[in-house]
Amino acid sequence: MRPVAILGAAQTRHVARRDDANYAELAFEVVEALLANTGISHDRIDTVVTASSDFWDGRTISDMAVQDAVGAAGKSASKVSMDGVFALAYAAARVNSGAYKTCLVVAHGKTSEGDPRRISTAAFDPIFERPLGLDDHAALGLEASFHVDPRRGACAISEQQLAVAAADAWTRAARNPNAHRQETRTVDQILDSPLVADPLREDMLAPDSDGACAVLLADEGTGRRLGASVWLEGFACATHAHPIGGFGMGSAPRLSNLAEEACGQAGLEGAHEIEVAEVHDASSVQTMYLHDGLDLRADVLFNPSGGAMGAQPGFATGLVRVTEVYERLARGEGRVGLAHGQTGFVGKAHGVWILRRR
Amino acid sequence: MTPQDAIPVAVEGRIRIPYRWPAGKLGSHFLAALRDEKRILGLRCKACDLVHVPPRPSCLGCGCTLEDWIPVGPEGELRGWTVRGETIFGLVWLDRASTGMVHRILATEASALAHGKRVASVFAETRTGAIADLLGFRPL
Amino acid sequence: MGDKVAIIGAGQTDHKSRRLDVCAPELVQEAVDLALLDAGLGPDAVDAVVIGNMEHFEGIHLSDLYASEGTRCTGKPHIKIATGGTTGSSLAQAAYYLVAGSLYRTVMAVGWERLSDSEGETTTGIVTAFDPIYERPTLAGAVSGLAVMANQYQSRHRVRSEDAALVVVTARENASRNPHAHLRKTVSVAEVLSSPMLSTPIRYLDMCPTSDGACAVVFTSDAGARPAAWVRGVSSRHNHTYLGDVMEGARSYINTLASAAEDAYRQAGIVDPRKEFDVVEMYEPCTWAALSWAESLRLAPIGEAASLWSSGAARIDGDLPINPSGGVLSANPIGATGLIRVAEASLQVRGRAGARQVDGVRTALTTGFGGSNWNEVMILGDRP
Repeated sequence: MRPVAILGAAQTRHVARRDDANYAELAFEVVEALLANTGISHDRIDTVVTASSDFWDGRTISDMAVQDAVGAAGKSASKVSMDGVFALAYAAARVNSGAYKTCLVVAHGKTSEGDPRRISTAAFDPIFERPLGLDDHAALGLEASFHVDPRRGACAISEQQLAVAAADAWTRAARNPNAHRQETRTVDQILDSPLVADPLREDMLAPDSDGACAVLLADEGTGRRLGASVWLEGFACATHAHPIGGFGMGSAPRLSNLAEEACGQAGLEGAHEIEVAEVHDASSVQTMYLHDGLDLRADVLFNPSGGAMGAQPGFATGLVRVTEVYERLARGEGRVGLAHGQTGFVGKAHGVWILRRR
Repeated sequence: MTPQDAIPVAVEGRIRIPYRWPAGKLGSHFLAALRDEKRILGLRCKACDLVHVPPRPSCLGCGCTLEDWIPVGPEGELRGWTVRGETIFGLVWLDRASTGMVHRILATEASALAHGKRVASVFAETRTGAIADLLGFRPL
Repeated sequence: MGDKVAIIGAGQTDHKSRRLDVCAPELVQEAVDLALLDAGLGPDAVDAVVIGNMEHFEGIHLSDLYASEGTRCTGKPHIKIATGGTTGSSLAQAAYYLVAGSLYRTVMAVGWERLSDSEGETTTGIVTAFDPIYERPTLAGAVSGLAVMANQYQSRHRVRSEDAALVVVTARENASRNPHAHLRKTVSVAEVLSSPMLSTPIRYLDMCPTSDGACAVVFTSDAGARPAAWVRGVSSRHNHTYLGDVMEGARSYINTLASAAEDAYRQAGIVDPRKEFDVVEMYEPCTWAALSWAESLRLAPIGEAASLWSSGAARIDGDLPINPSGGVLSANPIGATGLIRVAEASLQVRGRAGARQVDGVRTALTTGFGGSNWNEVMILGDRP
């Protein structure tokens, strides 16, 4: 892909419930924050791509409610029904097509309005899986069990390791004022938390949060003119098998391909050059295998925000990862970063972005 | 009189829509085999030999049309499971299958389960052509 | 405008009331295979898929992940676009931009819907599009909004129900030549006028059906020597938070369509749409919309669109054929409907429309319409 400039990004503080705002108001809030911190007004935003889920919003074409909130009325706009990282790809293409100089991307998740477990049951194959009563936590539990298999020897993950990864995530989230989880947890506390889907305990699962995120992109010319410092330079994504058993779980070899492809586009030799990475880890197992699968080096600054384990506002989660990496690079905390997002349980669709500070 | 707006107003609702999902050409054949023969069938790719269960229209590996049915199981290997509430779900690689199948594991104690454990299919007495014709897999 | 993009293949299922013989992945695979055949490509040539469907009609969340089993592109990018009635046209736009923006070279757009999965409850699904606090409790669904628009149009201009009826009479004549159309039996003006009234002035036969079907279209920047339909103009506009926002009663009954059309016309260098388009595939959810929206598209002066049909201009052998496929009035698998307009127009430009081929098509206009007063326009031509 041709590089695209990031002019700014903003996110809400993610919490369990925003009873004071409907989801359009969340989108409005985050866009207002973005416009305030970039000093750019709606009339200089040429096009908009939003990301949202009709099922989570309990509304068909739920993006209808955000048009005016995000300044899309009267503009060419579209919506991606996947995590914001995929909307970002569409946005980058719109800008690179030459038709638009700037594109706003807005993603929201107001998971408190519905029952996320119940909603998740509708994503399973209606003939072979849904009648069994699976939900997303059951799928995450199955995935975790697969990785906790002692026969995998050196690849196996132990319960203790899961708890350590979780404790680490809670600690980082507690330092992040935007994170839903604001407390620390010890390894023992985590191992004592209720079993949700064996071997996953409550504190090893990402929370269900309400929140929104917005990112403003510009084409090369506009980016240079405005002195944009951080650029999107590589993107790769893939959608894998649907029923859970397709080729086993974890998709680790494919993550490696995605990292390689995205890094290659950005002119990097490999993901070992990445200095800061943010991934959408829906469980502590994912925290671990995403780090390994993306070929990140051992000492990379990994999920400094706490990752999805700190806040999981639906389809905004991956866009928040991009925002977190963007902000760190913009502050000079590294030159190259990676942001990962996913849609589906057990990661059916993964997207990987490479950001670089010029 | 001014509105008492200290407490946010919330309106409750529900979307009630009944659905009917066809199993499709391949799914119907698979379910008929469960119902009429107590057999689990897989689809083998002509090009790359991968055996898929449950059925899907094209190969996960190479995209070729899948149309060759072969029996799989009735036993297999447990490679993952989770206890969710009262139910134990498991991932089973049936003998001859390349993909795993998710279903219930019919065990009273999850502690009896282990990765690699052999399991056997258990069918319902009365079968209607649905995935529930297979009650699940029982550890051997 | 970035890389030049062309359509080199299009395929669709035979749309029906109920496709009980196939599951969603199988339905999608039918359309995918036909599109790839038309393009002369194997699935390996596809770099990415944009895929769309409206989840509430089938009750399947993340339905793209499920249906991706039928695209023959497992392991490749699949991006889901779902914007209501415009889903299909939004898919075409997304495929266009992904290629024009050099993210991918060849993108396949796939749309499908199985309205029979929630048979009889399509309106229930549609009603959920509206605000749950202010509108859902009182709204009756898609028909009422269109009926109010039709009522405004009828009250301002001397347009009779007979004039609207001619739109579907022509549509079904065209559909009788289209093996993919759902409703192919011809109808008479008298039959339309005696069909049950749904919501004044819209009668049953004035309104589009609900169908099961799928469509796939291949967009590429690498057309080579293949017959290609080049994308010459792309635009969309929308505005709407509450239904009342739409009822502007302005000069154009649907300002967003007019605005999107003017933008696309400018991109394609179209000055006189009535003369310069050789064929139109328009998204007409009902006959009355076809009339007033043809005016928004400047295909006829305000209040005079009825003459396009009464003069025979809109027929396949007429001066400005409109919906030679039979249009939405003859087939409406919602997630695919807007894409079918683009598919049909691409067949017309490439001379592959069989019995419904219009002679000498060089430039084609397509539109998409959906919930959020959303209108999308894509113009195709025989050269870049």
